[in-house]
Amino acid sequence: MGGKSGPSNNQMVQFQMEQARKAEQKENLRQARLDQGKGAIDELFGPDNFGDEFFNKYKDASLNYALPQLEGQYDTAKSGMTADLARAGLLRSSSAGYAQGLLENQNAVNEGGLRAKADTDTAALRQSIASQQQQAYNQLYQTEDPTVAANTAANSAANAQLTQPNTGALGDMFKPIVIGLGSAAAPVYGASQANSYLNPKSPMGSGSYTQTG
Amino acid sequence: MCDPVSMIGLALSVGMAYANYAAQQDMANQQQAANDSWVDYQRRQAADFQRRDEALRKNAEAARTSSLEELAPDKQKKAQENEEARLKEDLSSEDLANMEKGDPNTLASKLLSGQEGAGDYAKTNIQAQIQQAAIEARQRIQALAAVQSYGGSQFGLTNRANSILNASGQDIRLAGNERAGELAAYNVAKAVEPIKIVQHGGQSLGAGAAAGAQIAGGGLGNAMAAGMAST
Repeated sequence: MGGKSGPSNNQMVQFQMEQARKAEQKENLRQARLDQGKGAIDELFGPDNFGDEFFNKYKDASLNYALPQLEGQYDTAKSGMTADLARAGLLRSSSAGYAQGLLENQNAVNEGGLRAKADTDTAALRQSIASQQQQAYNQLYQTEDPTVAANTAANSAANAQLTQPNTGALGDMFKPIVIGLGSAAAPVYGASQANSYLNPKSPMGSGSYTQTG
Repeated sequence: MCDPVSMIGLALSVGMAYANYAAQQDMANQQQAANDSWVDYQRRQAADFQRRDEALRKNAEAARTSSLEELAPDKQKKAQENEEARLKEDLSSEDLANMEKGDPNTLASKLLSGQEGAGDYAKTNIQAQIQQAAIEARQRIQALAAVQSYGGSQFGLTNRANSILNASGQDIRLAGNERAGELAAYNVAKAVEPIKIVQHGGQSLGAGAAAGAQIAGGGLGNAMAAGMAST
């Protein structure tokens, strides 16, 4: 008879839970990709590829370009000074020592300046590499944007809600039947229908009914 | 009064009412169970989310505090001193360092051609002036090293701080990104509705009871009328 109750939106809820499970699985996979991606970037820009050896090579190249020029100018200046001192007859005097001290001082300070510049240039290279690493991170995070993943998951559940089945009551599907009340029930059902329900199925059977169709 | 039809109708009415009550009770129980199940689900999801979120937050917090520790004044000072010492050696040649120390071979190599045959006094005087020049040059270079160590050198304070903050920033960003993803996934779980139990054909029970009562009432009336007629 009627009055049987049951979960009317069960499928809908199951679908929502499935979407939630999928969203969680997707997020786990996304995080795994993020970790893997970050690890790959860290390794790519790490000490194995961009360690002190790499930067020292750059600095040495810079110095190997600049220092020979300084050395050449130093030699020229030293030769000129030697000649000048010799011409003035001051080669073995304390004045020569003074002039030589000035030359050595200038040479050392100039070399220090060139070495400092090579070092700051190398620092700039480090910053440049770090900037590239940041860009690689940016691209990784853009690729694995959680907002996109969130919207996708939320929309899939929201769209499902738009198409949820009708969960309202079905209304009267069966008319009340009173057994053994032929005359009273007849106006309601019609005598013939009521009688047909009450006909025994077999000569041995009782007066129960079955409804078909 | 004791018409069997009336009695049957009355019994039917009571039976239908009871069946209706039982069905409603069953539905209420099922709904309660569904609600309990939903609350359990939501509670579990919330707890899982809170646990994961807290773990990620701790990752970010660890990265932040670690960077702050590295940027503490004592560590910054130590780093600056180390960098200054590195630069002091790195910015000057070994030759200059030897001159500064008064290494005789290095100082002798700095003599001009023609000075080798000078007297000891003159040579000593010249070499002393060269050594003094080297000392002064080294002092200037040391000052340069100190300046560089605060700023733009390879491991100077500026670059060191940037490097530390970049590293921790990426860890914090990763944690933040993952937290956002976790929240998004949790929001989907949070949107899961409770199961709503609906009584199918519930009204037919009530209608059945009403019809039964009507029939019983009718039967009872007929019986009473018949009784009155016979008297």
